[in-house]
Amino acid sequence: MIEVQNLWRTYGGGEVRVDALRGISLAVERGERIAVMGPSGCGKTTLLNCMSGIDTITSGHVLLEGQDLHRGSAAARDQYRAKKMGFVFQSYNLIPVLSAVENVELPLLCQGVDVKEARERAEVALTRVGLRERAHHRPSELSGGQHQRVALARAIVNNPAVVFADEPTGALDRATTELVLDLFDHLNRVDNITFVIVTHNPEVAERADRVIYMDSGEIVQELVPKRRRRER
Amino acid sequence: MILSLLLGSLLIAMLWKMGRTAIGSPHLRRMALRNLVLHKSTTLFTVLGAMIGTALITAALLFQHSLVQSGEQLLEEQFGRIGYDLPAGGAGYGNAQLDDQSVERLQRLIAQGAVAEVDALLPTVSLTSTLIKRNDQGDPLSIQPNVYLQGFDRMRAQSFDWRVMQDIPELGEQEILLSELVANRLEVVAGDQVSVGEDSLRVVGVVPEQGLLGYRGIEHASASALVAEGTARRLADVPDGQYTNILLRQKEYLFGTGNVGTRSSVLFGLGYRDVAVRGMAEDDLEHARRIFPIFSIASWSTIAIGLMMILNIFRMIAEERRQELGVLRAIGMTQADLTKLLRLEGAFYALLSSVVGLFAGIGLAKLLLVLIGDYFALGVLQIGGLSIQYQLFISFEPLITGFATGALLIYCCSWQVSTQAATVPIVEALYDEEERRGRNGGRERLSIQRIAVRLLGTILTAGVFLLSLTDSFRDGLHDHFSNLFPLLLIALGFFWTLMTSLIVSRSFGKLTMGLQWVFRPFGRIVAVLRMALRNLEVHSKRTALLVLMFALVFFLTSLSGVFRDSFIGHFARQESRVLAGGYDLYATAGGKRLTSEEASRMVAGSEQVKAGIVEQVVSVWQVPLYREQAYHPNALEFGSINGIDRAYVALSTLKLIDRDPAYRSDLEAWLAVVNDPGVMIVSERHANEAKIGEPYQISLMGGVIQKRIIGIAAYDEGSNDLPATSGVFLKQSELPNYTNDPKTITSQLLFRLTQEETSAADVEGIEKALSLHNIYPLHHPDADRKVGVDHMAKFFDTFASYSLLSALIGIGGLGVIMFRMVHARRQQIGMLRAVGVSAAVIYWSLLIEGSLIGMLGIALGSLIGSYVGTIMVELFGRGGDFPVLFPYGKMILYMVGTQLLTLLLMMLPARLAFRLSPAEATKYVR
Repeated sequence: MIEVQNLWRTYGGGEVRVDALRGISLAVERGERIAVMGPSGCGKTTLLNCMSGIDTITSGHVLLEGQDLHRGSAAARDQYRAKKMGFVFQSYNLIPVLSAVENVELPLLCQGVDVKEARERAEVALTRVGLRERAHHRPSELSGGQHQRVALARAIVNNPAVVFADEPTGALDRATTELVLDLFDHLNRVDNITFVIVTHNPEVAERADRVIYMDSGEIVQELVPKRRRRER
Repeated sequence: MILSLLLGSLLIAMLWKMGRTAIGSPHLRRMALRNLVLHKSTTLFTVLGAMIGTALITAALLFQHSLVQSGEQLLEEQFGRIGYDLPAGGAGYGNAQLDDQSVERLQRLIAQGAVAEVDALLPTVSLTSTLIKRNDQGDPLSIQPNVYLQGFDRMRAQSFDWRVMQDIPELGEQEILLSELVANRLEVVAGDQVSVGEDSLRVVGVVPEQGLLGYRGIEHASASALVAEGTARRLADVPDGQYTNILLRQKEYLFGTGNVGTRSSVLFGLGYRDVAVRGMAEDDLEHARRIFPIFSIASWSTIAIGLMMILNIFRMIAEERRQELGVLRAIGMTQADLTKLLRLEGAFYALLSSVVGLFAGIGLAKLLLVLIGDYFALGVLQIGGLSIQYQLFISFEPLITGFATGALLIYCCSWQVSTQAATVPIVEALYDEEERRGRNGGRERLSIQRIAVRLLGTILTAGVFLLSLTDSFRDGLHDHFSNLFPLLLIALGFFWTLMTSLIVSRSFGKLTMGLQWVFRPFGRIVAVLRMALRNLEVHSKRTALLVLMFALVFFLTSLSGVFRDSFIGHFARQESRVLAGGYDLYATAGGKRLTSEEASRMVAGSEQVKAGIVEQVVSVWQVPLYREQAYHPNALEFGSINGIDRAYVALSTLKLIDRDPAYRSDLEAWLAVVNDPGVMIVSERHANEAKIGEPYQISLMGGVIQKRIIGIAAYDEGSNDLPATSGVFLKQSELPNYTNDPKTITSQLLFRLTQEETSAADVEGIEKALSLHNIYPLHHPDADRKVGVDHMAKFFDTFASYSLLSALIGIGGLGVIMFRMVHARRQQIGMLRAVGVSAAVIYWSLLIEGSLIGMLGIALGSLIGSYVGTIMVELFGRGGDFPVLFPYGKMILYMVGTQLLTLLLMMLPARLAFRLSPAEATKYVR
């Protein structure tokens, strides 16, 4: 599904040169759930950004279903993201002036999907995350967990092959974290969506199929969580 | 002055407070300055936007001050200590003859204090004449007509005005002292000879016009000169012991200290009829200035726009920095310190913008003077015949008022916002704005009171609009507020602009829904519109203020545009020959009784007049209809008794709106007046209740003309100051019966030209020919009308440009707000980009968001301004033919220009958003 080959990402130059990623290679299977962990500044978010094409790379390749993501134009990457990827961020990034359903349908409208169809798909997505009844509330009227569920609905509304999540539970309490992770599991199981999750939270990692540990821009260890090992 | 002192004191208080904070709390000073430097673009736009308000108000104050000062200079030059002039003549009013006995009597009365406001007199002998510089062969080289020549006793003059007289040499019999103005025009210097009639006089000196030497008589001659008393007697044909005028000295020396403030005679109760020359001049100068306050209105509206911008920006700054301020409070900064910090920033903005605005204001005032100074000068000339040249006077009072107004208003805005921001509880401040909104319920909750207020506001706005459509509303305004209705209408326009801006801003939700419905097949457009419009809807207060900023500018611009085009259209359509009763030029020969034949011979025999250009010259004898106005410089304009002859009737185009049925045509009726001393025609303008077949009652003085009215002549308002177009028309030889002094009869020479559009050089030739016969000035109504129309156009164009300057504030303010908005929404924009929303969609949504505000404001302001302008033109033009003309082209140009500027500026923040990387979404530092 995703193949990362010798990926380098360097910021700045000369004395202030920082190698955020140092020759990372990684393969993710369709329907797999990968958790990326490591200390702050180790390059987790940079890896996620480069894998999803929201940041440029210095060298190497990111192959998505065999296609090199960074070989095409920025517009092509935009298109690819719009159709095949979903995103969930720690700070939700919902548009405060739009209601929940409007936030969810926005990516579809921007792709030129018919208004009626976009609304129907958005309502389905909200139903799947359990927020159908809150569809017309604005973000300011929702709780933190509800925010993240709306963000998740927005991430899955385009039926993505992969969802990239950056610290999705970073701002949530324990109970809400459980709820969100259950949703991830459900979507993974039912729709076979691939998840790449950057996290500090061991509970999140415990639910992944594979955990990748990073340090100083390199993968230092790969583990299968105990729970997953038991299931196998 | 009191206002300036008050504002100056407040400014000093502000500076003192600012200085104390800056010196006493260096950490606050550093933070304030660094914030200004950090937000460079905001600082720049804010300072530029705010400085326009200061510049406009300073320019308006400075310009008005210059008008007043130039007027005062004129009063000093042309009147000095002369307050009143008692002319000889005007039998029946007590001063038929001014002789030594009259002088002694008056002197006694003044010494006894019986004459209020007067403490001295000076009997003079004067005449108005043409001065000619000739070559050795005696041919005229240069001519200066209409010079007021005075002669008086030197000793008496010294006690009348010693300051002026100390510079004036003793004059001999054949000598003349010229004012600089005359000398320059004639191109003569001391030692040269000039001719006055048959006399040749040696120029003994050239001095600036001042007081006695600058005085140009009751009728405001073009310039002045002094001769010895004996010379004046000889030239004016006045015997020893008699005088043509007695000048009365104002008790108080008035220059720079105030006005006489009255047009009333001071000797009326003593049996004399003097003219308050200085008071009338003051009045005329003030009258011409009356239209200027519209520039002040525009300036104050600019200030209001500037205030809205500043308030908006300060609010945004406070909102953006809410968390920062919360942190500062949490780590121990007191509320007072926080307030000081924000106020210090506000004071920096205030000072920076006001300093820049002050200099811009001086430049703008100079520009205004160049552009429209002549318009006001023409106004003074047309009203009272005074000739003035306006110049820029820079003085402390308008400068400090403009500077302090700008600085204090900005400081007040920052004061208000900083007080609000600093008093927010720490816990509340630490939430970000959206969280705070969320805790407040997200959407604004409408209480019953709010709904009631909104409903009432909407009903009131719509109600007043509907009322304004009715005739009774407009009649009421016109009849009961004849002087105030322009101001009331402008106030009404401001009210509508404010209310509609609020209503429209509150209706964005409906607008968004409507547009979404219209564009529902186009998902991308819906997305763009939703992102653009929803922000405007949610931040409705900010939207309302921004819309109002643009609406106010375009309200004033379109109002003046409609007014300008309608009035200029009206005047430009007028046919001068028709308005002048069938004639093209006219000149007044005061105190002469010329027949039409004599006038024709005079012109035909002149070398200066090109052959064939004059078709006919007609002389109409005139005396004022209202004798109480006899000594007013423009007495005949109030109405005249016209003695007409057959030549006048042959070319006159005056139509009769009512006629004795005994006469089969207008011409027959007019000819009857020429032949029959028992009949007359009365103008519609002065008809009062007069009826055909009755004698004519002169309303004001109760006099009666015992002749039978056989026709009422039509009168066009446009003929206002044109001679022999109104009043009473009767047989020429009858006129001496209506004055006790034949010298008061004036011959009005009317010229019909072969070609109506005659060149200026040809007209100048006629003017020279008349000047050589001491007849001046020659008026050319068509040329005067064109000059008037040009000046009026320039005046309103300048006003429109002046108002449009405020649009820059709006655009600048919008720019700042959009820049800050993009900055605040970086993460959201990053997220949108991450989920595949193209940069173009984001770019367009921001562009639409910004420019829609401008578009709405421009549309609202233009509509309301045009509507109010239409009512104003209708009310001003009542009784005349004033079609309302809309300046479509110009308005579209202004609107498109402003919109383009707005779009261009909006492109900058939109481009900033365009360039934001999707990776912004994963940056969590806010």
